[in-house]
Amino acid sequence: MASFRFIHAADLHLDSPFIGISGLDDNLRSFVQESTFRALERLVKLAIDQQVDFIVISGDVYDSSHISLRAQLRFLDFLERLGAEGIAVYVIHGNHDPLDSTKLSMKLPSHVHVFGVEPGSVTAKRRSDHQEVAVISGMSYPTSKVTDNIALRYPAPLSGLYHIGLLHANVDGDPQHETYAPCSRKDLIRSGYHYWALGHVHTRRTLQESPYIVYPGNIQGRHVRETGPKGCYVVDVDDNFNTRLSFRELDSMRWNIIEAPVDSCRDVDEWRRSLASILARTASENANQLSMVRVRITGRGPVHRQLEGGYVLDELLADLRRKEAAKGAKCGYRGCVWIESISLQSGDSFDTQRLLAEDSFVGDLLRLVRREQEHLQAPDGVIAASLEPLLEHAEIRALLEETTPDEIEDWVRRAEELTLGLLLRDRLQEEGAEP
Amino acid sequence: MRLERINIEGFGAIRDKTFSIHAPVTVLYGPNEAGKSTVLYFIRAMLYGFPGKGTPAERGEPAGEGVHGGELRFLDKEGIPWVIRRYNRSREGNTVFGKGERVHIHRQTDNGMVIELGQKELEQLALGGISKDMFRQLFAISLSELQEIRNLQSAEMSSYLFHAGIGGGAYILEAERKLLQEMDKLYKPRGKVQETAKLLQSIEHMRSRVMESQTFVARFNEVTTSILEIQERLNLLEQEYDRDAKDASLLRKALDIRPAWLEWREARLALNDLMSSEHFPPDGITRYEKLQDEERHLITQSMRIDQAIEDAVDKLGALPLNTFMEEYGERIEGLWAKRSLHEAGNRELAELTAEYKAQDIRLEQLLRDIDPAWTREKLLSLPISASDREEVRRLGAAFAGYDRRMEGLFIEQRAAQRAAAAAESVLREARRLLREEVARGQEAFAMIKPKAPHETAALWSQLQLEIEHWRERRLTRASSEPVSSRLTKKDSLLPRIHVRLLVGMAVMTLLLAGVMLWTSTPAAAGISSIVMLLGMGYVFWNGRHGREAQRSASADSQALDEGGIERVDQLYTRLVSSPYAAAASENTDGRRHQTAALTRDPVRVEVQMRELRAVMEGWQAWRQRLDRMTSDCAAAEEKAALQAAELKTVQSTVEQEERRYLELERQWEAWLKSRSLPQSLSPDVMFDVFIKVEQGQEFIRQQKSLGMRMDVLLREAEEYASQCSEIVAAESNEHIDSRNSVAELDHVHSRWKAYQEESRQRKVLADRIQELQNEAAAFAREREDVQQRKASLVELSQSADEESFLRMGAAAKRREELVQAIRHHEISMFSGWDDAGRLQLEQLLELTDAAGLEAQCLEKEASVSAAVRLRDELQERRGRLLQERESLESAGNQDSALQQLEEQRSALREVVAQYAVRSMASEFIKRTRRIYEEEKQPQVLLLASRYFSLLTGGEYSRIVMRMGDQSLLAERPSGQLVESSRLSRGTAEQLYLSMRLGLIQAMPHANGMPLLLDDLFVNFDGKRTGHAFRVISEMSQTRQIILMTCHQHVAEQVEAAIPGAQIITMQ
Repeated sequence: MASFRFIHAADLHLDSPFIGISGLDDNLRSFVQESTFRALERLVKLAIDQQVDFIVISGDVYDSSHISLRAQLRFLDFLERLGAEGIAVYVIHGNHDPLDSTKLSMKLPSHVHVFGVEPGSVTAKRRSDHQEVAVISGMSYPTSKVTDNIALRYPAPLSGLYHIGLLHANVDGDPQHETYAPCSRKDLIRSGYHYWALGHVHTRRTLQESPYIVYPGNIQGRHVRETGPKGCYVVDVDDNFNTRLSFRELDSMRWNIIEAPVDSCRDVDEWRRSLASILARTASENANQLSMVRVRITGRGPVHRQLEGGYVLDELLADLRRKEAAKGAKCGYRGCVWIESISLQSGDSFDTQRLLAEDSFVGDLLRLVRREQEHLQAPDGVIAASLEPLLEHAEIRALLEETTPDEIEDWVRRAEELTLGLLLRDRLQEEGAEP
Repeated sequence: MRLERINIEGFGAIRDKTFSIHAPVTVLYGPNEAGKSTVLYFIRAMLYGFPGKGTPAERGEPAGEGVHGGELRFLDKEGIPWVIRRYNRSREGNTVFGKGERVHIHRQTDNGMVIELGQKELEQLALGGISKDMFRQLFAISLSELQEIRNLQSAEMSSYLFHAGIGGGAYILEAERKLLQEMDKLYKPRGKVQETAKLLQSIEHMRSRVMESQTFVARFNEVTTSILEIQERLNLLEQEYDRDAKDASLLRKALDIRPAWLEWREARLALNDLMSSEHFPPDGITRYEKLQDEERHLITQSMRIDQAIEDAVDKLGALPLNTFMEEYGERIEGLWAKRSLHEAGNRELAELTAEYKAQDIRLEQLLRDIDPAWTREKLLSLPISASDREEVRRLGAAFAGYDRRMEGLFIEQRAAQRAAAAAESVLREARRLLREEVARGQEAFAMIKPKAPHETAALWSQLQLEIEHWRERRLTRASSEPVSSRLTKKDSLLPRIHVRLLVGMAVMTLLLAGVMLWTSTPAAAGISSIVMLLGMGYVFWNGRHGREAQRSASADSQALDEGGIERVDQLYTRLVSSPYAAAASENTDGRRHQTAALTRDPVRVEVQMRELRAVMEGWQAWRQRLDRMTSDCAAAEEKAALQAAELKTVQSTVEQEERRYLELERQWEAWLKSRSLPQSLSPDVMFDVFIKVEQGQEFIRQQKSLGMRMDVLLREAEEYASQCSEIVAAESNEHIDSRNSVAELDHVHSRWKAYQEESRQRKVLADRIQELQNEAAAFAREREDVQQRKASLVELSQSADEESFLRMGAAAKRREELVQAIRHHEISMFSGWDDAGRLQLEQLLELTDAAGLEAQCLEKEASVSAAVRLRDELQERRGRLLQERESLESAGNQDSALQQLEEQRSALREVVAQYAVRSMASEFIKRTRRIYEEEKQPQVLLLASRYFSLLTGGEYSRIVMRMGDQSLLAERPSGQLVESSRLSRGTAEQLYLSMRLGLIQAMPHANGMPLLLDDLFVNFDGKRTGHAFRVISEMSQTRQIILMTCHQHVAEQVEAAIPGAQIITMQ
């Protein structure tokens, strides 16, 4: 029995495009594009600094079946650098980079082991004395769709070494992720492995501690739903197989969602100031990263109308982005805040309940909206009718198909607010004049 | 409002027509052109003014002359009568204000008064604020207006058409429009300019780029493989090429050097055959030839020098020596030098001679000037000392003094003579005057007795005194007499005054006393009467005293008068006598008588005295004149004596002067004689003589010095000439005149100059000959030396003679050439080749002939160049591939297409979201609006629907208004909707009428406004016409209705349907 240390990383998604951001200038775009590689770089550095014995990567090294040349070259570089240090690398491929995807025709260095289409095992040695310390099992996705429970096919532990299973799967069928290689926690516990090094789910979580069933999450957040710090686990295993995990951040760009309520603001300027302070706070909290922020404007107040109509938000956004881009170009984007998007979820300050009860055009309209909200999917409903013209274009159609019900609901809500704002302009002005 | 009376004075075709209306429903019935519509227009015009000329029918301007306008009477809501009169002013000839109209709006007040109001008040008070247009479109309608459905869409009316709660629906429509606009900006299904279109385009673009970048990996693999293959082939090719290239180069070299190689071999053979020449000195031939050349050169030089010496000697012989020139050269030179001096002397001599002669002539002239008899000797002997000059000057001055004095004396003498003559004549004149005066006086004053004037004067003064006394006395008496006489007259007058005064005083006194007494003051009376009495007494006394004093004064002077007269007479007679006195005595006699009488009449005395005084005064004046003349005469005498004395004195002085002059004359003549000068000379002239003498003496002195100078010059000239002649003689051995010899010297001198030049040349030639001889000797020595050196050279080569020396030299030269050629060939053939290579080459050349070499070489070279081409090609391909791989790598590294695609998609998503939101909002509004249109109709439409239902007899249930375009729809009871444009004409008109009726009824402020319908029912069928009348009947409950029709049946129907309807038939 010998102690050793390894790094568990997954879902590198090298050269992954970053979804949902727009309005980047070239500098920032290259910074953003580079972020996955930057995380990879940090991983190398971490491995060398921590003097780990090997690294396991649980699938999705690349982002898509069309793997970019850059990603492959950079990954090759990564492997070579680790090889120079004598750090072994054990890799499985996942649904995003299955074995059938186009890869560079190259011979892998000897210190790298990529598992094949059938589950297999290799023995890992300690760097210091080449003592065998662990058995690592794994399997790569032959194609992007693996729908059977491959965990069951993993070889049973034989020797008395520490057993690590590399698996790219959605354990217990997390509905937020595509369900590939479905398996249950029980299956894994039953296998007798000491450490299940999982990949696929990008949210870091430890499903079980004995044995360890761990999703380290991806090493770099890629869109607004992947918020918070991202990185890998440094795993220390002592003589008695006591396993200790420590999370290490690798990301250079971090996603956040912040809320900027309009309730208490009397005018746009006030709201803008409050937003500025919130952004400043975010920046100081993530001083070493670029913060990618989605601003959700919430609450009800007169500011809403100004934000909804006109170009206030567009201008504000452009302004903030311009400033940050300028700042970032100088300081390398550390501690900068880039607003990914602004989501206008606020509303005007009217009493919807009262309006709902009113025998008026607005009342009727609100009641209609409420009825429609009940049946978002109705084929002859308002939503279907209003989205219909958009369906003509394939690109937009594809976008709409991706749209979640939440988003649709959000749109309906915004439409309601917009309508009310337009129809009740006079009334609002009168009310506004009263105090 | 209820119309009562329509009075058309002139409108359209109607003239002077009056209608009285009293029923709720009135029908104006008449055939076409009866003027029904005109009535409608007239009512409109009356209420709202004449329309413009653009609508002539509605304006109703009469065709002919006449008034345009009329009068309208109506009752307002409160039943108050109004009268409107309106006339077109332009019809009244007031063309300037063509548009104007004359309006009178009268309204009766409660108390029966009539007030005049304006159009505005009319509209407000009587017409319920309904505008002109609205009246025209809703209340006074003809068919044409009925069909203008868009009239209903005016903003004014739309407020009636929509539900009050949604603010007329404008906001809804605006909101919808705004949303649609925004949507249009964001997206249109086939739009090109919308944001989405741009985004989609760029997404398309990005997609293609992504596709491209996805091929990078495969391409990279391909390229890498190709590169490896090419590398392999290149390596093989390289080896092959190296071998072939080496062979080819050997062959080529052999081929190249083959001619040289042949020569080389030949040269080596020749060298072996060549005779020995090892003792031949290096450069032997060259050195020998050089010495030969040197010798030849030296020979030529010495020959040249000999020739030169010969020439010089010949030239020297041509220049002989001249003894004469040798001997006399120096002297000739000296004389030549002095020649200019000699000529100058000659010139000076000539000048001096001329001057000497001129001096002679001037001297002669001078002597003649002084005196013709004078000679040089005299001139020279005349001394001119200072004392002589002084003497002459003194004498001259004495003569001059004499002249001056004589001149003064002559003038003096003449003046004295003139003064003496003048004094004489004055004396004569004075004496004549005196005589004349005496004679005149004696004649004039002959009567005066005394001869002595002083006696006369004394008598006269005495007489005057007496007269004065007399006059005084007489005057004293004469003044007292008249006074007394006057006094007497006064006396007679004064007493009268006194008397009256006295009487008055007395009366006063009495009265006063009486009054005093009466007033019982006796004391006062007494005093006052006393005072009065005293006053009376003074007055009385005073008058008496004055008269007394005057009377006594005149009595004394009478006696004194008598004595004075006598003395006067006495004196008078003593004074005056002779002829005059006789006359005077007569007078005196008379006067005496008179005097006698004068004692009583002094006036006569006074006359006498006055005459006497005049005479005496004349006399006294004459006496004075006489005295003055006498004294003048005496003064003239004295002066004449004085002048004569002066004249005498002057003459004596003249004589004295003349004596002194003679003395001077003597002295001067003595002086002249002593100097033997002509006697005629005056001292003044003497001074000129002095000057001339001095000049003459000067001339003589100058002549003397000139003569001396001339002598010297003459001597010098002669000496020079003798010297010259000596020389000339010596040259030509014959005597030559000295004068000519001077000229000859010129030639001699020039010959001497030529000779000098020749001598110099001779000297030069001698020097030259000496030099040449030296040179010739030097050349001879050098030649000897060269011959010696040549001999030693020959000896050195061990050859027998010069000929064999030369042969040996040729052989040595040949050997040298051959060795050099061999070395040269070797270098050119084998340089850069090692021994092995050289050996290979030599073998190759030995074994193969030229043609064989050529063929082999070409073959090898062809294969080499083919290899090179192939190699280049492969290298280029490899380069291209490497470049491609590199560019792929960098493209891959810089590729951001996917990221940009995502960004564009995000942007698109955002736009889509915006669009979706707006689209939904728009849809919500649209649907709600539909609810409104379908379920919630506004009041107007409800009313209109009811009328429509009534009019159509229930064929249609209601009218619906679509919100978007506000078009009207008719709904059947079944719920079927028909657009108004699709309705039949009659039904459509019924629909519009219903809308109008609904609108009218929905306007609360328009309550009671009359409704005028101009033949609206022509398109209605009988049944619906009936329905219409029922509706009208119903409406007539609340408002007056006037129908116009040209159909009798209509009129009849109305009469039947509406009891109490008034039918007015128009013709």
